[in-house]
Amino acid sequence: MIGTDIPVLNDTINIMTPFLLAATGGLYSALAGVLNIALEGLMLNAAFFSIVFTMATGNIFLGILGGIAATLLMTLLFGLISLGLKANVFICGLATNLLAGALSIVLAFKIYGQTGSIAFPGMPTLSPIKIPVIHNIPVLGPLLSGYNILVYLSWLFLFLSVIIIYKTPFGIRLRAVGNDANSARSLGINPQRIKMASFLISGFTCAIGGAFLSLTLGAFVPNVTSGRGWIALAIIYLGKKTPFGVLLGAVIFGFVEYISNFLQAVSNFPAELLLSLPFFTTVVILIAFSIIEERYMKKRRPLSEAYCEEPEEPIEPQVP
Amino acid sequence: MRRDSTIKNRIATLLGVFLSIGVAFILAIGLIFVLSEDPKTTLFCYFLGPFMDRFTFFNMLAASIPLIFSGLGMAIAFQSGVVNLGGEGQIFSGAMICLIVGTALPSLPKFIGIPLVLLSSILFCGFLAGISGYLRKRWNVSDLLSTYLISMGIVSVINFLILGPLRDTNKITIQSISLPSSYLLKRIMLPSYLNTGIILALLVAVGLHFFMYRTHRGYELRVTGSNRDFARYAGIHVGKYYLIPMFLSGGVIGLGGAIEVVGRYQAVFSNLTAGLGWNGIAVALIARNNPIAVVPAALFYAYLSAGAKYAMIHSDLTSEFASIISAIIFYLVTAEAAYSFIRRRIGK
Repeated sequence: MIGTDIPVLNDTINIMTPFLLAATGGLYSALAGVLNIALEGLMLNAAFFSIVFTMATGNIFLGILGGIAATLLMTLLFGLISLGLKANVFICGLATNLLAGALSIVLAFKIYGQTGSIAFPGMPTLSPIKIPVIHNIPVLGPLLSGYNILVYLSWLFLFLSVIIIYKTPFGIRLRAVGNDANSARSLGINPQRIKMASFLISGFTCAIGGAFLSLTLGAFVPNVTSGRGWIALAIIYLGKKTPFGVLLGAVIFGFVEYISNFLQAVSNFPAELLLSLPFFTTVVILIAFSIIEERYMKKRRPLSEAYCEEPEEPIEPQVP
Repeated sequence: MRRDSTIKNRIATLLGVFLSIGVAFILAIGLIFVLSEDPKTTLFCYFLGPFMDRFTFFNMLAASIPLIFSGLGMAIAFQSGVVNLGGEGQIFSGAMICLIVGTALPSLPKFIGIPLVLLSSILFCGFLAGISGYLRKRWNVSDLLSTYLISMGIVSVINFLILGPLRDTNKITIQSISLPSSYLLKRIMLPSYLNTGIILALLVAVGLHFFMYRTHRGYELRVTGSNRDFARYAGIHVGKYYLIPMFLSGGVIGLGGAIEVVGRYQAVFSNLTAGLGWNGIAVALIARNNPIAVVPAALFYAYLSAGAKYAMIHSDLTSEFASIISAIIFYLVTAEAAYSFIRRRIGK
């Protein structure tokens, strides 16, 4: 295993990128106190449109920009209906997921006349970037260098998020709205606007995550996101809505998926069973986390039980 | 006076639902003009296709059966304040368990065999969803995430069974072995797929309506669903009402999957669920979580997708077009702004 040390890390870092991006973006809406379950659909939408635009322009960066634009439009639709028309955010999120899946198939049929995977020969894919100096350092080099641009963007975005969330007025307003929208309003903050901004940020990062998925593959596969947006939601929740927690969660789930991929490649264990691994692992981690949290809560509770803190509600949608 | 206002409220709700459907239809017409080379034919096929011949019409009714079940399951969950996003996995595993139990006991008489396979599907899927309910009750694990994740995992496992141990290698298409013919429900309107399962669906809808609105337990469920804290102060054992609605919801949805096998397909294949779990949520929303109203809502939904299928065969639309329309309805059906607007208008 010693010899394969670095490939494990490299692959894990590559695999975790969509998780990290979606969870970092979703973190903003989570902090603003809205449950954004549209992460999955937004990523799928970007995965589709980045391929469409890359094919149309022949340029991968224009493709990514097109994917981002299309996904921001969809986020805008989602935000305007849920905030403007006061529709249920949870249901609007489901609608976005449904819409993204259907739109990709209907449009693929309209544009390319086919509904399966879309790829064309000579499709440009994202190439790895070697950072000049760092690349030659023995251990650090292979670890930090040699990823494609979107991976670096995901790190940059996480780093920026720490600053944005904790050090800027916007971040403070964001958390204030999430804490108590009414008090925030009394302080002159417009919660709707903050929530909309948080949606757009999630739309933006999910778009990059989706583009990463299809552009590293060089093709669009229907339902290519396969639950990553949902696992990203779990990551946000498990990470206690902090950037560091999100990073840790993304590493863990990236690794789980790496194991699943690795076993598919080297063992003759049925692939379908391995596909279920990330989902079941997420459930187990969710349970373990909740148990640990409960124990910890009990320890913290004073002897008298007079001060008995209610356990924090898990992700709780407003049921229609 | 108070009675009057609730009636007005109900009318406003109904009008709001119709409004969102109307808007969706208008957008559908617009989209067809964009997407289709021959909009006239496509429009005709999409809106009137399902009524053009007996076969299509009764198949539309047949397609409404699983929608009724999944709509009912979702309605119970929503009304009790829990979230079940595992519909896809529950339908799929309902179908699979029914197949496994049926093939394991091939020579049972019909009147014992069919209830047995259906019951095992109900129990298994109820258990599957019940896990999420228990996790929520015991360790406060989000039911939204756990239902979805467990369901996705189960879908992969069942796909493995279809491709591996339970695959019927004599068939060209990839599907599981077939259920013994003695388990099949009676077809009503041959050559369509409509079967006696629809009667069962109606009975379950009426039964659940009775349970939710006429029994003590149903009342407690609804109170817990509308306000859990209030229910706790009123002395209702709210922990129980994570488990019971989840079990019921999963069980009913799983029953829908089982009916698909004994009533229509006789085997399980990869795309059996085809978004039924998600559409069940839309059906429940249109029905405003009322079990009886789920039936017309499911029929309407079946009409939406039957039209798209008809247009796919006779014109140039993909059947996923129906999902776009349903997404639009999804978006609009809970739009509180529209409802309060209508309420104000009626109030005047």
